[in-house]
Amino acid sequence: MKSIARLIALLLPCSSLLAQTAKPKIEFKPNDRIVLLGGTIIEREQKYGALETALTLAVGEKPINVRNLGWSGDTVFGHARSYFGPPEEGITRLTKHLEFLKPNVLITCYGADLAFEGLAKLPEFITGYRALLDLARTTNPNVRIAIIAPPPFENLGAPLPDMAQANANLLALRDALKEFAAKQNAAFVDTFELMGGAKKERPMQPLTDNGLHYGEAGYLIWAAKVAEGLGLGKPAFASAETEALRREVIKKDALFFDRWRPENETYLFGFRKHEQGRNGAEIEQFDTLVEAQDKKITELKTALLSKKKLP
Amino acid sequence: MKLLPLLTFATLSATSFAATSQPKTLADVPDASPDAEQAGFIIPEGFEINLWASDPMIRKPVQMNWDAQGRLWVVSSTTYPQIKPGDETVDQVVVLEDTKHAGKADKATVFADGLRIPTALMPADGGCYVANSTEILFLKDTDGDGKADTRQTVLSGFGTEDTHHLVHTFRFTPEGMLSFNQSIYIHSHLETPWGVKRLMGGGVWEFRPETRKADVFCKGLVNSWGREFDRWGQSFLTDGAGSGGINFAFPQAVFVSSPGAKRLIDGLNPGQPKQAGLEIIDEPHFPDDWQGTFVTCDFRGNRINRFKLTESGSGYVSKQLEDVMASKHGGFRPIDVRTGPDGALYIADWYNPIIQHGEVDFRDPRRDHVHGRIWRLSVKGRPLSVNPDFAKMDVSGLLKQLRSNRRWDRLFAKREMRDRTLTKGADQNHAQEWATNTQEWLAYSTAMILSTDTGKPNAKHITGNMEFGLEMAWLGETTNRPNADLIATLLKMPDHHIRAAALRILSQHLNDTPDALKLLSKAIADEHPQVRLWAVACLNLMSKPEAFELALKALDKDVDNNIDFLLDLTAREQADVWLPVFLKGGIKLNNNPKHLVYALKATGKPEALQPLLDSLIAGKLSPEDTAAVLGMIGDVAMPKQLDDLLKLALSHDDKTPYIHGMLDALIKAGQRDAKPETGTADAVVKLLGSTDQEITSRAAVLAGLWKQETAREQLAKWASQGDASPVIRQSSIRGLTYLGGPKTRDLFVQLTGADHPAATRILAINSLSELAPPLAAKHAVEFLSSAKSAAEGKPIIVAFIKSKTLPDLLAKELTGKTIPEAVAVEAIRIVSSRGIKGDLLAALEKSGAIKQMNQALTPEAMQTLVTKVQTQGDPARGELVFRRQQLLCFSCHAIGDAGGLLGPNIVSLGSAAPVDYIIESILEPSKKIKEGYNMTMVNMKDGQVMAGMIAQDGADELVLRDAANGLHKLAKANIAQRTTSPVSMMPPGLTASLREDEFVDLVRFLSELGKEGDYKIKPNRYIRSWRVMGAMEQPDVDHVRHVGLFALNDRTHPFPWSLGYSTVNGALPLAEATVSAKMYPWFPKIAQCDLQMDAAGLVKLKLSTVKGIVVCVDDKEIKELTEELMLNLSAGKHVVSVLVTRDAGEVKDFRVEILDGTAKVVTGL
Repeated sequence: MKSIARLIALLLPCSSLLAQTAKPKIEFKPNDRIVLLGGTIIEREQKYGALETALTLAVGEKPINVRNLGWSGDTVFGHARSYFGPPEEGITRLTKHLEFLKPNVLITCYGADLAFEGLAKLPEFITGYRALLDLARTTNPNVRIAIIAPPPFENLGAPLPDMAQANANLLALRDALKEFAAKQNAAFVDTFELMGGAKKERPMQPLTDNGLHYGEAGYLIWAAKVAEGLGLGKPAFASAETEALRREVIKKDALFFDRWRPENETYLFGFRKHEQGRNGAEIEQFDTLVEAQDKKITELKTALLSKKKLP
Repeated sequence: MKLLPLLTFATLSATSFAATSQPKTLADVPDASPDAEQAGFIIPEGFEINLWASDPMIRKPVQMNWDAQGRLWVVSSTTYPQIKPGDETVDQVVVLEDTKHAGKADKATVFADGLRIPTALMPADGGCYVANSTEILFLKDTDGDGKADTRQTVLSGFGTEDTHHLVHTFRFTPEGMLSFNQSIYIHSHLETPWGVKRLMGGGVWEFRPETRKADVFCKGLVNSWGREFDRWGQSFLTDGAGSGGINFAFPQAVFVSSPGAKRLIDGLNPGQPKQAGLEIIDEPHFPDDWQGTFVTCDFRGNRINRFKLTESGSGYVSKQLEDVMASKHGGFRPIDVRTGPDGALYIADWYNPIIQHGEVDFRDPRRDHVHGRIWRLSVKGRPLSVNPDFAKMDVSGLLKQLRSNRRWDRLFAKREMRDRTLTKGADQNHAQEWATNTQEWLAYSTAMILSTDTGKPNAKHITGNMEFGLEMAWLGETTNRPNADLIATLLKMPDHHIRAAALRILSQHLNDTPDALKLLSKAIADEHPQVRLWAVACLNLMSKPEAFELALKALDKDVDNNIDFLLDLTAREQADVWLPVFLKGGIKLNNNPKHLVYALKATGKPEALQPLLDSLIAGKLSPEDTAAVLGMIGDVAMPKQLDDLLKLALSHDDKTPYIHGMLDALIKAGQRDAKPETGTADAVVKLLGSTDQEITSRAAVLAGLWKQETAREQLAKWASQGDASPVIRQSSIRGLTYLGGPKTRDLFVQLTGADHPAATRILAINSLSELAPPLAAKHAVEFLSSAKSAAEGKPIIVAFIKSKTLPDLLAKELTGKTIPEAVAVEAIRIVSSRGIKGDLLAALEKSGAIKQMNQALTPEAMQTLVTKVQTQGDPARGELVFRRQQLLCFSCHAIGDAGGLLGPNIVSLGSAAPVDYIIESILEPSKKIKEGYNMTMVNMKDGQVMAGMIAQDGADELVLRDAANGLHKLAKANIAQRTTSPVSMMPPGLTASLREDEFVDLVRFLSELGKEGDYKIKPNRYIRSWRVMGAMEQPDVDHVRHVGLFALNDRTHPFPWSLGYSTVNGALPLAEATVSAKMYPWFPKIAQCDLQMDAAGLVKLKLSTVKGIVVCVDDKEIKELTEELMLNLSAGKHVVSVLVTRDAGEVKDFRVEILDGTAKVVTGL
């Protein structure tokens, strides 16, 4: 893993905190609760903690806390979040989670599925996206929103499929999202472009192993690009410096996952609650653990930032 | 009557009881030492078992697979069932090795830890795939220290709604793909480079790692912890919570529990205990008669079962053989079984006195988290196999392994070639040598197998070479170098297994095989149904109009259930693909009327109806198709189309065939408010004037539905007249109900009067409940107060629980009134088993003067009772209690393949559930409800309320099984809401009439079920469902004596049959039969069963005795009865009557067993 850290360090030259010239597209306030929402790309982010690490450092000394509500295969309609009810049950579940978290900032990344579904469904998608954001606003009318355009797919060559058409769709999706974000008064982060746009040829150093999903190296870069796209500037730290912080973020994400998406939900909170529902009480114990971990993250970040300021 | 004293203790609150219901003592937990466990084994003669690996080397093994070097990879979870807050993820992949070849593992390496309830693994591609809750990981050791140092997410998005349902059962498909299953509660959403793939509920996935393509192979099953492939790539599944035994899986097959399924494929062994793991013996260390047999683990019953499958049409019949082994130790939980490098059978023993976590607390102290074993079963006196060193072989050496008679050799030779080609990089020399071999085989097969010249080599040689060709094709797939020539040639092979296997391979290349349709046009007309099934499967997967048109050609040959299922599913699910094209003339459905009707009626879509209606009017439909089309008209026809149907009906006289069916279709349409645009008034006049009461009765209903006031007078007359036939009276009342209005109401009030017959009064009250509920309630209570029997009161109660508001109305009206106790008891049973809330139960108890019964036990009382069951309970007496008619046990619960379907099958209840759990389930059925047996409450849009168990949850239709075992089909469009009730369908208080000793015996019997001993269902196929003759009246006896014994088969004669089930040991339910004292010369007890044959064949029965026994098969009495009885049965249903005559004397445990043949027992009333 060291080699990856070194690679990232090379790719992302350090710049000082003061190098932030562009005005941030979203204003971050102390104790902001930031919720990440989306499909696989958001869900897997918690395995690497890169985006939260980047954000928590980029906003400076303000303490923030980040919660990842990503769900593999999810769409703006929330259907992947449904269990035994109709697909619409997914939105009901998401509503509960948003009400529980009451985000001040919502960062969403949706639409990768549309690359395969085809653009015919684009209007439906935008309508769904609007409903989703409206829903978030019902839990906090002043929620600040950032919309991320999904990054391009990598063309890794046979036997994996050619991604040319899918990328063309993503490009069109990006344009639609940009327009949509403007109408929604939301910040727009174009990681389609920031991650290099559509390429026909196989990358020299692929960041994905299936064309779609990043591993650690990919997430470190993507996270930096999201921060940059939010107008928070380029990273001030080499990834090696932030490694300890990132480990704690990953730990917190794992604890929070157990809080909002515990296994055995059927028995704990679902239609077989009458059998094992008493064990549901355990789940709330994760709140304390998550909060303690939040604290640890803030402490580590404060230490890192003050070290940087010293010279 | 002495009541069970324990039941009179004060009620505890539900929560405090729940927390203490499990005994805190660990006293009944068995000795966990390997020696104690081994002492409990029952191993058949000629076999031996030894402990191969044990804790602490391995804890809680969940799944295992071997690698080519003979190392056993085991995934293990001590975290299951649920991580505790603050705990680290600690679960492991452990690699076990017998380095000294001593028959015992001597080395264990933790390849990976920090895993999260991992449920499957497969060493492959230079690393190991692991199912890790929401994801599948690929772990790799890059520095050679034996521990994984890279961790890659291969797929993510698997649900975790239940941790014993998580993605599991990794196996290789013959083509080298990774196969895995998920279970009933899991919902998965996988983003892949081929799009997002989703699977709701159970099912099987197939995944090719190098392309990252994942597809759903088949859907359903409750908890399918077993998949294996036979020699020809056909695959089979076992189910750890279903009861179908071995399941034959083909693409798009849908099994029990799949959400949205309209139709299901059944398992091959209905009523089997649950099974996990599956191995098909393909290994010379085992005896010849073991080859090709199926081995799977009945983990609840602490034993391992074996089955033999025989081909039947496109599918199989499965026969259970003697157990592979069993154990008297309650901790033995075999869950996976694999053939090892030395040919012995290795058994993963999860070791736990407690299984699963739905019913027993997550944190129950009796739950074991530390033990686990691998046992090794070998055959005495047969040589062990030797594991070849695949890594050192050259290509020709590896190819030679493909001809081995061991699956191990064939599998790992292909895996080695895969590693050399894909993982280690292609080697040109290897590729060349392999290509040459392929060319040689193609040349050989063309010259020697397919040529019609004489001088062919012998059959065995040909078979061997056909199978080698198939292995070569699989090798091509495994190395991701598919060879279209090979597939095309295999499709021409004389052995249908090979042709079907070739289609399985083709099914994965449909998009890149340009002549796929051409190949399939031949296969769809194949002489063997298995090949035709796979052809339909391929055509389904193509999802194109012309592919569907071709698939319909399967109808030109015999269509068995599997083929019909798949064709019907294709027609229905792909209607959007082909129907618009057909309606525009783009495809003609082969210009074949049979194809046309089949396809269109399968869709159930209104736009598909017109061509069918045209054919009906033109008189072009067969009787069977006519019935189906009429059904469809009732469901979907528009008013204009109903006009055409009405005209057609009226243009014929009363004798026209289908005239009743046509009127029924009009009634069905009328019930959804669709009626003909014109001609209804004249039609009613004409039809009411018919001399056929089948027509007039339907006309009466239509008159109401079509609001024909002019008919009112006639209907009122029929409804009130004592001499009108019951069917006319009933139809008239229905018609009047539809007409409605004050006139109807007043008439019905009059009809509820005591001067009318009870049947009329019941009909009137029922109808009134729809028109004027409070008035109806008043008359209902009047009726109930004077009801002569529980049976007479029952329809009134049923009428008053059909909507949300009626029960409370009845309750209100019951206040201060008295009804007979028997009526009240029956009413309470009905009401509580339908989950009706509100005041009705209390009102019934009060007006029937029924005493309130406390059912909950204190922890101390429970402990006392448990001890009593264990020390004093008599299972034999308990079985008699269980069989008592008035307890109703058998009406809902089956033991094995005999009994009701409403409740869980309790075949292995005793070995799966602790005694306290059984007691609690009887006394308080709603405390814990087995998965799949929850009661569902459905509110219909018209206000009706239905309750029952979901029998099928289709896309447009929900089928509920009610408390009386009746099926109700509810259109989803008419459902307003549905909720899962926390109330069990099993009414509490069923055992309230028992004395304590009887209750204790009953529980003892239940707690013995499935345990090694007398109460474990034997694998023998005893006939367990019987019609039993009750007390015969003189006319019944005369009918038999005058006509002959076969008159017993006359289903139109009302013999006093009742349904009876065999005892656990298989004996006929003769205790429940009555001696027909007047039936000279036999004076018998009579029992009868129905046998179903899918195809003609021989069936061998075995009778436990023949003295004084008379057997009649269909209309023939068997002369000179012998204990083994060979029957030659045609396809269809056959009736076997057994008379146990006076000459037989006291017969104890008389049994009839199906020794051989494909007969299915389908006895019904």
